[in-house]
Amino acid sequence: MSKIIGIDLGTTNSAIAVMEGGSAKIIPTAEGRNTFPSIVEPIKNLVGDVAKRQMVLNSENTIFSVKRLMGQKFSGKQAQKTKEIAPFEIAAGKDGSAIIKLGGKEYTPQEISAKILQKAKADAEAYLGTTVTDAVITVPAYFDDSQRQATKQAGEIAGLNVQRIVNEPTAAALAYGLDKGKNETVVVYDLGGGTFDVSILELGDGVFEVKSTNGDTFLGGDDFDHKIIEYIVSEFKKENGVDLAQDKQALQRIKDAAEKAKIELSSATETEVNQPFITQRDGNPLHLTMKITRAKLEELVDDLIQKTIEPCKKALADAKIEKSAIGEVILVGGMTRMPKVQQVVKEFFGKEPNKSVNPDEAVALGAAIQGGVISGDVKDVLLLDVTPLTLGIETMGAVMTPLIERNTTVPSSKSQVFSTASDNQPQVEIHILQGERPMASDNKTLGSFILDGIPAAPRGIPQIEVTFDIDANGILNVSAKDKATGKEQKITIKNATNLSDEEVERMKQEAEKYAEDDKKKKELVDKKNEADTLIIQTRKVLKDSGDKFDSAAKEEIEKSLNELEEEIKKPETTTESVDAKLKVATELVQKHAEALYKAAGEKDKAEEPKAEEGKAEEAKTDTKTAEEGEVVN
Amino acid sequence: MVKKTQPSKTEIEKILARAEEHETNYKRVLADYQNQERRFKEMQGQFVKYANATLLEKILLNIDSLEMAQSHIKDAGLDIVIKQFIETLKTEGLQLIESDGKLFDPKTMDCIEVVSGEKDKVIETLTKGYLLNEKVLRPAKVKVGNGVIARSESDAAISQSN
Repeated sequence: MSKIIGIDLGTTNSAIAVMEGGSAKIIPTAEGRNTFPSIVEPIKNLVGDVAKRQMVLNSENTIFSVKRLMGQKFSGKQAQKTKEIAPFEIAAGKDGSAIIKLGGKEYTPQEISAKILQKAKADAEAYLGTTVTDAVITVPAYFDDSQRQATKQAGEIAGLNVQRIVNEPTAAALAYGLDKGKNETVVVYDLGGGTFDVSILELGDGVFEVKSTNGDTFLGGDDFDHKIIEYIVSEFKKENGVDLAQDKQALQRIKDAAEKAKIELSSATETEVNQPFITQRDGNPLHLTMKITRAKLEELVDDLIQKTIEPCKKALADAKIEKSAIGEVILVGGMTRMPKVQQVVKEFFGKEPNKSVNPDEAVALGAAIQGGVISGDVKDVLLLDVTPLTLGIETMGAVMTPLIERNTTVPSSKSQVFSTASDNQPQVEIHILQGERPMASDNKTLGSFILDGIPAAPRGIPQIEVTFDIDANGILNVSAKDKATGKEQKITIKNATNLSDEEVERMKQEAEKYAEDDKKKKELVDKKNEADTLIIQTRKVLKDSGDKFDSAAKEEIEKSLNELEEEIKKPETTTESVDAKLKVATELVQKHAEALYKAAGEKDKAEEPKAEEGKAEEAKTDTKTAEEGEVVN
Repeated sequence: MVKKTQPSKTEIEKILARAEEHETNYKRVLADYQNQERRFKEMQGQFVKYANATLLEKILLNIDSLEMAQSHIKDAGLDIVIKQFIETLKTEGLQLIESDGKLFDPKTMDCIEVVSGEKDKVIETLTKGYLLNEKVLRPAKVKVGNGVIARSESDAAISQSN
């Protein structure tokens, strides 16, 4: 079954999304953007950015804001108002509905919207690599039956089975994940490029009911841009006496700069508009350099923001809901990124608005989620859990060695080979831990078991394969297998992912708090392990080499090893003191070993000095593996 | 005799339906994964090619300013500096969109103003456009002719050919 895509068919911009791997994702357009302008040139069949770029040249054939005409009568207020601002010709079609006339042809708003949907379909197909036949399309909550019907027809013309028409605020609420369990009242505040909508939703048992909706169909981000442009032009005129509004080229540069400034002032409190050589006066170039503060911007657009309050009041009154009964306020539309807008919303509703989802993408994402629900994608895939904390085992020196890292999506499994810590060790204990701290004892014990019957062998030789396997229900299976004998032991731990949120938070906080201490402890253990390995290896070499070392040298080395051993055992020992003794011993061993090779080389060059070298190498590499992971006994 | 308990027909149907549902879900997830892998491979190539896009877009604004300064002060040295600058960016995959005198193409150009001149031809480039590894990084901002080749400017502004 093919995927159902979600389409936010907007007045100024449209966006596409799809469910993938259990979550909704925006599909980038062929141009590499997350949204595209809802602009169509039907004669040359141009849609989106390309249509927008030729708009000035071909204004009477370029259609924008066609959504305003969907399912409208030509004689209706909305169609007449659109006619006033549209450079293309709007006329009455059969049965009096509004149509567009251009190039001697008539186009219904459905046909034009279909072009936008066709682009959405094509871009989705390119992204997914398969054909797309089904879609969920969003419409404003106030759309009546004929408007919804028109939208559905547009989908059919574009070759899409419209599985459902979803209200934009409902889609946004879905994208914000508000469908899970709670029963509450949700306000959706949507300030987009060209329209403002506010909706009150009642959410109960996963069903959304639109209680009321209000707005201003001619208020949006473009109006904000105009205010900034006006300000820049008037300031420049005051300073230089030149009216940039008369210069189309300069005006275009100011328009770009104004939009950039508006965006920058959402994160910075001050920005600089720099447009050198903007114009000339008496043959001398004039430069536009101007600082705009966030406070100034807020002052300029304050009346626009205040204009959104009245519809909010009306929506609340229509829904017969008190502000105190509102459970959640969510923000949709690019303009809601502006801190002042967020502040005004917060002050009016008395509640911090939720802004966790990208406001330009929320509606399309919600439509995709609705598509996922219809195709059955969502129900099962969303249940995939992640491990809240790291899972691992205790290794030499009481260190926690992680196997499955925190936030791994389950089901997941991982194996790692460990070895023994001492010679002829007959068994290993697998101590299973959960937590973020480097020392075993600071983490939570989930269980432990013993794998015995390991054949006698020097330390580091046996290969014990430890496997962690966690299934989708959070059940953890840990097994340990001796690769030599094939002997295996295992344990099953239920609810390895099942921790309360508080528990996870506490453990994470502790890990942060003790990070420095833990690091020191771990360093000491590592150093001790390193020293331990040197002691064992050197003693072995001394024993194996027989009388090759003279007794004085042997004694000297043995003494330094004993001192090192004592140092490790001291309870008050530190990384530095172990390191000092370790260095002395290492140097001594190296010195004598060198002398030994030299002597051997001089005595008899044929006496395989290479074999001896090989041994020394081996000892070195052993040190490394021992440091990393050996199961404690 | 031990009585055999047979699951009822509806129970079997239920179980079969569940099995089928699980298989579909499994296939779906596997397909998602494989698609994701394919896309990831594609994206790795894209990522290297277009990683610089945002930075280049910002630098282009500075080059625009330099060029504007140059058109005013006409300094031979500055000319070399600008050329050097562009040459460096060319090695990173940047390419100028030829626009002056060309036929207007909305794929690579953005029409800012319609002026008198040959129809649909670019009369003047206001800001140069650039491609980055064959993709449009920034369309050229241009003035396009309306088909009226008039002696006087005011005539041209009023009449619109169609």
